[in-house]
Amino acid sequence: MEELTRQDAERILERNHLGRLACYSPSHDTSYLVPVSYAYHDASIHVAMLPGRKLDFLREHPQGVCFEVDEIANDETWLSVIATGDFAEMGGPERAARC
Amino acid sequence: MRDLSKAEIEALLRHCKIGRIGVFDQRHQRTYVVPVSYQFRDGAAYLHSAPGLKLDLLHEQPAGVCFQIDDIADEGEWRSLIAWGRFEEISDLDERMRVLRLFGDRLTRGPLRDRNQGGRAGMLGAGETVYRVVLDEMTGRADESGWLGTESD
Repeated sequence: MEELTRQDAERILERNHLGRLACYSPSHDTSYLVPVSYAYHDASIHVAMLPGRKLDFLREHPQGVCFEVDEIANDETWLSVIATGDFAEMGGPERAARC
Repeated sequence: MRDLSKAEIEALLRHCKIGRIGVFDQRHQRTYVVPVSYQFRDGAAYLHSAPGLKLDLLHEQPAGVCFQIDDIADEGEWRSLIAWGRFEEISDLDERMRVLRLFGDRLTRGPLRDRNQGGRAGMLGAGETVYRVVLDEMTGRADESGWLGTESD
């Protein structure tokens, strides 16, 4: 097992389009972890989502959102990237351009 | 999109071999997700891990662990399950061995083999924490509308 460089991690984020997003709700004291389709640009993950638990949790606790992407061939051959960031909603022309 | 039945949920849990565990890190106020190999038996996901952040967080906050699996062909053809459960470490030696044997090949290949060869001969998976996440609440969804179905939404 070895650590990936930041550059390797970014390349893996760029070439994948399915990741797992985890958020947390302090009021429910619950984590929520779901697969999402995403696009990676400018050190950010861009995701489109409908109203629901995921969006409620992200709005309640926008900090410390975890995003995970992996390429797993088998137990011996795998790559995994774990990233942490803050949630922000997008509006205006940026919204249409990114998702 | 539709909800999975209880039987479909069990079938998906048996079908998948890799899931993701999500835990909340209170100290840093952030979530942590990692892919894990698991085996499903009797309402629980059985796992083993080497010491690290994931185990530290599971020990710190054993309740409300999120466990997620999916089988995704494309955006319009997928099955996904989200479960919440509690972390329970398995320390009884016989039970540990029973759990490790569920992983079959992993005992002679891959991460466990590497650790076995690290001078701890005589005890398979020594240094690994063996545990289960008892799945208390589960929700499963599926979409079979196909790729074009989502494109036209």
